[in-house]
Amino acid sequence: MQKQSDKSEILHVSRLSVHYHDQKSVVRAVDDVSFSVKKGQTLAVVGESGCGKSTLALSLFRLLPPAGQLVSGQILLHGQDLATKSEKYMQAIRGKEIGLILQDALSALNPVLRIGTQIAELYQHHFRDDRRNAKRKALDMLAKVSLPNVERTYTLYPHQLSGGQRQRVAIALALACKPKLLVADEPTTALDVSLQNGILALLSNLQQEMGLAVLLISHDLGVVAQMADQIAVMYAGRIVEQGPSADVFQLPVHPYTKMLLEAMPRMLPGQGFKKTYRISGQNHEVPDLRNLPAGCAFAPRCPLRLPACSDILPTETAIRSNHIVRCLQSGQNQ
Amino acid sequence: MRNERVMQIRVKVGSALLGLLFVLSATVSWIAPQDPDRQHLETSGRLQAPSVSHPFGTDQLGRDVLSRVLHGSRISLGLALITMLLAVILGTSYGALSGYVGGATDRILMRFVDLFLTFPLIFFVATCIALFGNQLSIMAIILALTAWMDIARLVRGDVLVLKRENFVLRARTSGLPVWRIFLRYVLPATLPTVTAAAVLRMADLILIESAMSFLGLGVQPPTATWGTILKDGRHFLSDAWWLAFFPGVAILLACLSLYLIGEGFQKHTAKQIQSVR
Repeated sequence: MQKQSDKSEILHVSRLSVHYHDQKSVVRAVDDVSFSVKKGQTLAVVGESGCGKSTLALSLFRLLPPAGQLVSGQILLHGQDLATKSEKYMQAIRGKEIGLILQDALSALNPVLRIGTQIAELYQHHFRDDRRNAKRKALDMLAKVSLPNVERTYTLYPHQLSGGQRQRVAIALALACKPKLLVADEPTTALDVSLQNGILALLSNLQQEMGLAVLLISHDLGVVAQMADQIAVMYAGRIVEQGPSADVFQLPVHPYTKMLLEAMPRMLPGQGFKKTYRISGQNHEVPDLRNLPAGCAFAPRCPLRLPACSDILPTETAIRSNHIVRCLQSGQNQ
Repeated sequence: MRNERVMQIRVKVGSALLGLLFVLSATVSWIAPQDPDRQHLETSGRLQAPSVSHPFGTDQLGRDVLSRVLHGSRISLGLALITMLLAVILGTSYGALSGYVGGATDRILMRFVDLFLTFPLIFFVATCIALFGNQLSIMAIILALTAWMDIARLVRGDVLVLKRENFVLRARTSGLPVWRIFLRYVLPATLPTVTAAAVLRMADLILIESAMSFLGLGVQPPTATWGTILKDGRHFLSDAWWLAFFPGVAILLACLSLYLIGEGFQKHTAKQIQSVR
């Protein structure tokens, strides 16, 4: 344990970079990313598809695909650097200290094992519980995620459950061993809109009850507005703006954040319902991560581009306490 | 839709036929009209055409062909079944491990499979029988050694896809150990493929065993198998067609029923895969 670090700080990631290699090129999927998540708080990582969000989630678990490599940086969980730990150590904390809800949670259940067996086996593995204890805990967990008739659900197979129920089971699996940190990668995108609110409410209830630190990964700003205490906006593998949720939503600084917010249909207090705007800018293409410009990756799409933007990589600048922006013009744009 | 119904009928017909053959071979001691080895060497008893007292006729030693075919089914079907099980166990574990471990190990293990596939089948079996003898247990092992390769290949292909499935990744995010994920998450999901391949394999094994016996490499006379009866019959094809005809029909029916079932399974699996994607 590092004494100087804030005690409520559960995860602290600093200057993390993850690259994918193939024969010809290097993809910088996560580049120089730093953030931290506190107990009971939610940090939302937002950005469009392909900006490195899911890679970030998997790198925290050290479960990158074979081509992926954690190049540099630290992942401090309670002061322990996961980036340097052995596979054996990682196996022991996966599911126990850190839980992950995968992007497509509907296919995350083993089709040939009963729901109850899949949860109970986690207790048997991580806590060496005997069958009866594991079953009792698994039933408790099913009740916690508000599944109906837990005794019966325990004996069902995944295909016998509805989408919403399977999502609840996926949450139960991620939280079964009472982890301190939950990483939720698009926890609602596979679901109907009508089910999203129920799942989000369940997540925030469990978060309060268990004092969870949550890293929420989403491209849905509506979900983020509902859940997040802190927001980190990612573009082409880098965090371009990070700050408290209210700040980022109401006083966005980076042109990309502004563009994202304008593209969202929303209802904010005192503003009524706003029209939806299309993402503006000359170039609508998501940048090619193999071939990023030397300067700011957003420059080709940026409406406020300066000649210097394509050459100079902006550093993280604090414009308010806790509010950090990577933009050469951040001073002028406030 | 219509296709599916036809497929289901095929599986049903195949299963019924196969079930009947198995029941017959299991109860043969009660239903076979005569001792299959009892000879009637007087002229009136030898090479009799099918009649009420000998529905399949008699052979050159006056033995009742019906009783011999029924008794033969025990060895022909039993040997094929045991051989198939051995081949499935060997092929599945080999292929699944190879695919799951992956990388250079996988490439080397698969080249070894290719090597086995290049052996000429009859030559391999003949050599092994010459070296190790032709007891039934040794025959089963030798035949299994010729039959496990394509099961290994199929299962490996399945595992390569399965280990990238979301539920396998999820098991890893839950911290489950690699061997446990293999046994409980990957291996059971190969079952549909293995079943279909195993059933088709068994049909081939019945044919191979008959061919081996026919060539005199397999089970030796006087023990009756479909292959040995066929072999005896070949000398009398022009005078006593029933000698070769009835064991031939038995082989045909057994293989046909297995192909019907196997094909139905394969179509069903292909359909399941489509519906998941």
